Amino acid sequence: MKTKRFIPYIFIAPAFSIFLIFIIYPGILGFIISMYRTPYSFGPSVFIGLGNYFSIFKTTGFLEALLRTFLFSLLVVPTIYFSSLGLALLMTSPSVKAKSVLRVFFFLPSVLSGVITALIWDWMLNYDFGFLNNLFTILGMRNIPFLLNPMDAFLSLVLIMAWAVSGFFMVIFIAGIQSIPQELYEAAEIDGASTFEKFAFITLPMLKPTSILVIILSTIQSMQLFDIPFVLTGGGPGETTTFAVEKVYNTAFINLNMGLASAMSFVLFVIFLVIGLTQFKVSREGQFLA
Amino acid sequence: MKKFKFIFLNVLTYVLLFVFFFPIFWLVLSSFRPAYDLYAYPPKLFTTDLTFENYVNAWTSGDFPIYFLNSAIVTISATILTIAISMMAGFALAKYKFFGGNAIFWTILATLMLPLQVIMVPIFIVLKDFHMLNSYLGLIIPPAATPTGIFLVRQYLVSLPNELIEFARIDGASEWRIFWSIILPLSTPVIATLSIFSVLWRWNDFLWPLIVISNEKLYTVQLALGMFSGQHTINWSGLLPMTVLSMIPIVIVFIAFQRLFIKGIYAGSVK
Repeated sequence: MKTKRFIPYIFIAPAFSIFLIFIIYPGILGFIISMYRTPYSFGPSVFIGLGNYFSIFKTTGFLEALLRTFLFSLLVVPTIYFSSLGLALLMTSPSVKAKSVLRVFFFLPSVLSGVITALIWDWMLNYDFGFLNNLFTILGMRNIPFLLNPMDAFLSLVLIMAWAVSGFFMVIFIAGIQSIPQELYEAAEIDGASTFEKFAFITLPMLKPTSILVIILSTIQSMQLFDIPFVLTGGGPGETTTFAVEKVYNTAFINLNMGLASAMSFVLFVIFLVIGLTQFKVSREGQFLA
Repeated sequence: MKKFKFIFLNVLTYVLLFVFFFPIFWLVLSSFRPAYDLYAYPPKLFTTDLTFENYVNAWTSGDFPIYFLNSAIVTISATILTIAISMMAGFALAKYKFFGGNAIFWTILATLMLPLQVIMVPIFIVLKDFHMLNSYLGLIIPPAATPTGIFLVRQYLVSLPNELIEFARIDGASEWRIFWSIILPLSTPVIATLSIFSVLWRWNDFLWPLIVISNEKLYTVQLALGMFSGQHTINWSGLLPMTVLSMIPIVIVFIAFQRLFIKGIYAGSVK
């Protein structure tokens, strides 16, 4: 079939030029900026090679923010895993009625923005006016400074993120559970397997590709999390809930050190790349999603 | 034993339902309570003293309608743009064999490795050089190109039979005409899925407007809420109704199209 050669390029041009100008070019530019000292982004810059990379690990608190981010992921990923798997099991259980309505409610938090999620939980956890502390006051208990105490704020964020995304991962798990052939369960029942045995020896192993997918996606999401802590705690108290992305944001747009912030971004890029490549390798096995 | 299991699972389900839904319900309920009631001491948890006053104040004092309008303009235009460019690019990648086609496809997918979170500094500088900071164009154009969108469209169009296109060509239809009168009408399912996700992404976006916009008149709803809640003394009786209003469009879209949402997630459009 003879068609004019240039036609597909014309169809692709609008999308590809946006990618080129607003993603690929900034990606390269970011790496270049990371090798300059830019005291104020608008002043003259000095080439300092890898200088920014050395200084981010010495003085800036970026390493701490990165470790904090890892710790956050380490806590939140299992929380998300168990809560979304639990929801999916309940939402496929024959004992539970009205499942299609219930699913909608569990999924609802997943469509709310990070800002709204943060405000919803601010209004629950606020020291003076939050629901929980009001309840404690009425019951004559002492108020808990959920968002004012470093440890409480950190753990609150773990639970809030799990609250916000579990419904989304529940949907993925439901798809996984429903794709397990029923014959396996029937055969196990003939052999006299208990509910727990069926779960441990059929459901869980058959959900392995789904589980890996959920773990990798939630790891990426938790490491890129920005809006919920930014709005809810502002990274505080102190810097105890300042995660890597917020650290980059603060360095670039509050301290106006674009070079240093770009170096931090590049470190993050490498970390995300490793996780992303793992996902790419793995999700070829988790084909049900494609 | 069976009965015990039945009761246990149902109780657990409704406890979880409470955990997942009560915070949203509480926010909505509180938005209807008068200010003196919100700040009362000793606190009152339940009340029948409800009013629309907070809503009237939120909507009439200050610039909230402007933020709402900004969000609507950005969401609708960006979604139309996303559909247009994703359909065109997805069509080219699915239905033409051309030099560099594969390389372009993989390059587009590879941009998933450059989320805004890692290029916010250079993208700010690029937008500044293009004079796109503090403009609708800056809010709308760059996020409209999504690898996910192009991937979804391409996968969908690959499954359409090539004969449709071949026959049209024999009849003398131009390539543009094939795209416009054959491909587009057949693509309504994927257009619907992508539109819904695009509306969700653009309406809920916070980091992008945070970087692009500093002029208050151009704030989107999310940016405004995020900024106002960062102030030292939060005016809750103003903020609560704004939060509820900003949820409404998304909740309506979600309830109306939940099947498409779920289908979209299965289709691998997992962000």
